[in-house]
Amino acid sequence: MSVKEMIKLNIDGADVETQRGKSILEAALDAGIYVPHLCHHPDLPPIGACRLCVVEVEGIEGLPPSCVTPAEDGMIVRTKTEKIDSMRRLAMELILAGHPADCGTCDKYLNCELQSLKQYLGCEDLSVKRRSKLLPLNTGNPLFVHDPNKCVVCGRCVRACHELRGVGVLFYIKKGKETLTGTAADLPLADSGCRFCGACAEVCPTGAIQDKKELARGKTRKAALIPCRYTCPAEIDVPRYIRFIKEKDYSAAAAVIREKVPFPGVLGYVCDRICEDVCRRSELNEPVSIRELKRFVAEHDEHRVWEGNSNKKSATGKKVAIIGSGPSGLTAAYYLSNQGHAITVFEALPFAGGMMRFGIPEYRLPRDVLDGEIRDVVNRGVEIKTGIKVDSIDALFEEGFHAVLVAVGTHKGQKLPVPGADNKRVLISIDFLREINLGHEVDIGNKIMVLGGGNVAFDCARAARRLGTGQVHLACLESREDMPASDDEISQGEEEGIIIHPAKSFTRILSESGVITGVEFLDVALLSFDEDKNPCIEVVKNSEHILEADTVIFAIGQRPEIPQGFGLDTGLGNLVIADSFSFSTSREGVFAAGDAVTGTSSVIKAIASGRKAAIATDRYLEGNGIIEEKLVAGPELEEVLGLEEGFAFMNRCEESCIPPEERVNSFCKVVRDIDEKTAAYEATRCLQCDLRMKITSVKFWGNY
Amino acid sequence: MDLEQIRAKAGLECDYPKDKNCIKVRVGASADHPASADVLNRFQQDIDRCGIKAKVIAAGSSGLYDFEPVVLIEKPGRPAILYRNITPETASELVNDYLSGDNPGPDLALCSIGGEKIDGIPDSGDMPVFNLQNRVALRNCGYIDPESINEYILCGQGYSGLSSVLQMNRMDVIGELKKSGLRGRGGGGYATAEKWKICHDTEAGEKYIICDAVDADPRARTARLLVESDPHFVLEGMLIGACVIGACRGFICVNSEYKTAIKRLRKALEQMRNYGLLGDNILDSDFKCDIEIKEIESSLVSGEETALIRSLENKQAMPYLRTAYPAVRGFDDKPTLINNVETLSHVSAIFQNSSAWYSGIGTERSRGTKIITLSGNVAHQYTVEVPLGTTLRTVVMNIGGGVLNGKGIKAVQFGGPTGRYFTGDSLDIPVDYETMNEAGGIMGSGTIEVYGSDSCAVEMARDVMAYLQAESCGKCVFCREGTYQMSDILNDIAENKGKPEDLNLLVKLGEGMKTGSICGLGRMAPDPVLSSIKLFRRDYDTHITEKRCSANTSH
Repeated sequence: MSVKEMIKLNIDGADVETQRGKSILEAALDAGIYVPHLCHHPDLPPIGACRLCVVEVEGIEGLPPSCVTPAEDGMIVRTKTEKIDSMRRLAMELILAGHPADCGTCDKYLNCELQSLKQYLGCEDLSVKRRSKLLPLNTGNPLFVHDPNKCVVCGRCVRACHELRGVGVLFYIKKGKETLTGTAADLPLADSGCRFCGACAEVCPTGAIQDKKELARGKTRKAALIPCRYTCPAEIDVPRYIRFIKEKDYSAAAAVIREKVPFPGVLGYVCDRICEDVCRRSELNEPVSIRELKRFVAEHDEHRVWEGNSNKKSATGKKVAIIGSGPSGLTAAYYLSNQGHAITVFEALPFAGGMMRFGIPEYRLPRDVLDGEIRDVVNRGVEIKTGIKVDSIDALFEEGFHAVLVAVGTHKGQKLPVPGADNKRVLISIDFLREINLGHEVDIGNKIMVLGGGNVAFDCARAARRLGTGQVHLACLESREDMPASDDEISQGEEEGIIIHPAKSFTRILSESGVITGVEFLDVALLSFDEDKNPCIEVVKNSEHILEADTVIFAIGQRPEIPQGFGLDTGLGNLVIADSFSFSTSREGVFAAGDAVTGTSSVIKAIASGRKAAIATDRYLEGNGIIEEKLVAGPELEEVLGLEEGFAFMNRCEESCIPPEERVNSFCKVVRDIDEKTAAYEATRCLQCDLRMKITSVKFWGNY
Repeated sequence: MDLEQIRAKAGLECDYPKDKNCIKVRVGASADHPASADVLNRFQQDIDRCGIKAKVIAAGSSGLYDFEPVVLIEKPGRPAILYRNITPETASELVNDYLSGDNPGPDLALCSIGGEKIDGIPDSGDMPVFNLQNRVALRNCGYIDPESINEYILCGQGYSGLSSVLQMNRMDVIGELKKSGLRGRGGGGYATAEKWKICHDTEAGEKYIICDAVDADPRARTARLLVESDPHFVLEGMLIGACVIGACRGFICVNSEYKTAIKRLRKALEQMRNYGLLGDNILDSDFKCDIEIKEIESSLVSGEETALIRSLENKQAMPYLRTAYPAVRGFDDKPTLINNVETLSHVSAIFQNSSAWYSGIGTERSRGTKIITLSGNVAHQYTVEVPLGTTLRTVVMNIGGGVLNGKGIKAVQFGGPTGRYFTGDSLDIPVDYETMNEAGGIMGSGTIEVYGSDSCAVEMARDVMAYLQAESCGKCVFCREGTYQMSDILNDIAENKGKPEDLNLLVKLGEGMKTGSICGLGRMAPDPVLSSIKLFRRDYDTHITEKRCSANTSH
């Protein structure tokens, strides 16, 4: 790489050094000397259109624009003279003449380069005539709003689209007497081949091109612009691993995921993918199938580059006991082990995994995937002791542990004390699932009634369906639209023959000679929840009716089981009280994470909780609490996207399952895996929202 | 094939140009002329029927549109006679009277050309519309069949210029061009030899030559005339240029609306290929070159070199600020010679004759001739070619016939829509580069727009500014907003809503546009209105203070 020659020039009496090849404007701005500019942008080729940056240079006639004039050694430049001032002012007045005068109602207020320039130059009264351009506002495109009345025709968006991104859908266009920027033939962006990368909005100096406000409401800028990454509780760098998929470097993609979570495969099967709910691609057609891509990557991680690149710190001599080997416990174990602590995980059940094994049935999460990822945690140096139920935290401290993390989850289900609930065929969800997942026989009949509308209820219903030839029904308080279970659980369940009865409130369980005959229900007219999350049910009078059943499974919610011997304060629902930042409980040196603190939630939230608890615990143990690691370099950020015809219309690859008739007879995997071609296609759909964060921010004059 | 062999082959295919005994009937008209085909057919039919030894040739336009279809009849032993406004009926008359008989039909004749005078027919030498012209670039236009390379080779000195150049040292060619004094006819008037030298001197693997045949000025018909009526003259000049700078690819940029011109160009290129005048080993030398046609959507700004380059690169035709001449770094960042179509025709003329001959025409500082098109409120909207140094008044009055209906001249706008106005005594200004520049004018496209004495200067300026605002590409602030503001102000003044300060504002905006615009359109857009204020202050004051139009035109 050649060393760039340094040259020296004089600007306003001060000597300024710069590299040969830079313009006078770049030299000045780099040296902290502010020269007003509008059409100039550090990432775009200069065009000398706005003439705000004009300077006087000894030996050059007239007022050259400093953005297009190369700096030369020995140049003498003046940036503030009467002639310059008068030209600058006229240019500014001409720009302001067509721009709306009222800044107050604009969303770009105080974040607008034009407003800042106006203040700097002190232009209030114009010597030229003002006008309203009366151009139509364009809100018809997804993601972006275009208000050509605010456009100052700086051309940055055109250059960003053509030169920076290599796409080229924006042009200078004329409507009547006005010049603005837009697509050829006024086509919608999607039809023009736009990549929706947002570079135009990022470089626009005024409020002419902006992100749609509705999409950003209540979110930080990062969460609004890269929602997948910043809505993920663990902040997995989604755009980055999708980029690796495009490059067919699946092991690198897996490494990116593992920078944040130790369970890419598990999540690839069961994550509730809130990232897809906020994916900006859904504004065009459908969100990117992020979970499908994650599963694909986990299954194709041949080289396991993450393993070699993960640095385990040297032993600190500290010991941490983690109670519970579910997602939060094992995640915390992995990261704390990396920090150099000696980790022992205590698991009451015969196998590790927590809800991943004993809640989620095998047809949703193949056991070999789970076992493999648990093994990866163990191989980092984590000891898991199964079959040991911890009753006392004091005992752990006496054993020599320096800190304890309670990650016991919510494994205690409940029955409601309705009449008839004490029959042996009235089962509790969690216990039922545990028995199945342990491989034990379960005593059920032929007409199963699952009570509950969440994912656990469906786990029970679909597992029951696989156990016998009988009918499986599911009844819940919520209406069909409000059922808390995820859409794919509901639809797959129905395909498997589960009959759903929404908006039902059960009153009692009927039996004859000790055999259950049915469940009595009332229709629900209105369901709401109070601030303690207790349901307030308004029933339809005289709507009592009975649905036949010989087995009832309650799936109405779980709580943690916290032994007295822990000595921890618990609150509503028996949840452990833990500080939401420090994860510390009422007891010094004892931390809590996962469902035990939040109540039943999701695997990814539990994992994220485990991460944060690891940070807190590490700090408590006098570590630095920095668990961030870079497991792979790259990929090279390709700023040029190119035009891809029909980009906005590429359809989402949907999750596909094996036919219901095939899957109900066993606990085999339901979901079909995508192939390489589909993965490549799906990865191409990603808008790469993170690219725009790489565009240099323009400093306002107050920052010089 | 070398030129001798080509001439021999051409002679075999096209014997009549040399045949002194054959009568030649040349029917000349613009491509879109409705009647010329019928006239051609009638001549052919009648000649065949009468069995006369005569050849009917479809020629292009000569620029004297009022007389079209013109017919030039060359009968052995007689001076050539030019007939005007011929119809199929009068065509039959001519065949009967003059081709079969010996009655030259003076009633139908415009003039005779050369030789002894014929009774009743004026001599072209006595007619200003002819004797004031010196047709260098337009030499063949209206006389040869533009779709015949053979005529070009046999009737003109077709490709003899290229042949000479191929036998010369390149620097000597540039030297000859310099002696000729040729200056670019695209508007800038830059010394052509110097531009060629810069391009020649720049080392590069690839170089390009571009011929601007777009007629960016809507009033101009230069490119149309040359390409429609004598495409080979232009193409020969292109090859000469390509050879000297070392380019093997040329683009001829033609106005996409000139459908016939494009068609004739395609045919011309094909004919050139058949004679080995394109491709490898042109005229048996080691020069190789090929030329492509590029259709360009014409706009005023497409006349800017940088905008034309962008257009060829398939980008928006908008000018850009360049750090080097296109001759050094142009199309695709390679050295690119851009010459106007008229310039290249002059190049052919110079190398078919001599630089001494060429430099004998015109003035001391502006050698040669200029094609001028008259438009507006003038009796004859001709395209003619006059020696540089001819005055505006001469062209407008003696060739153009003055203002329609005998009214006086209010003013003329010279050079295109960004040119200044001339009026009264200033009409005696000679048309040459230096004098024009010193007077604050431009040569530009050489068009003259004539305004009669019943025109209002404010309305003239308003209309021109409205056009310039519409043609502004919109990239730079001063041109885009400046033309908008000026247009608004002129509208107000014309509608009697102007204020005295408006004139100061126009001057201030003009200064900004002159220094702050990226290209010539913006820099020169203020010239018409500013010159109009200087020359016709009274018109402006009347509108502003008396709230009425001194020319009494309806608004």
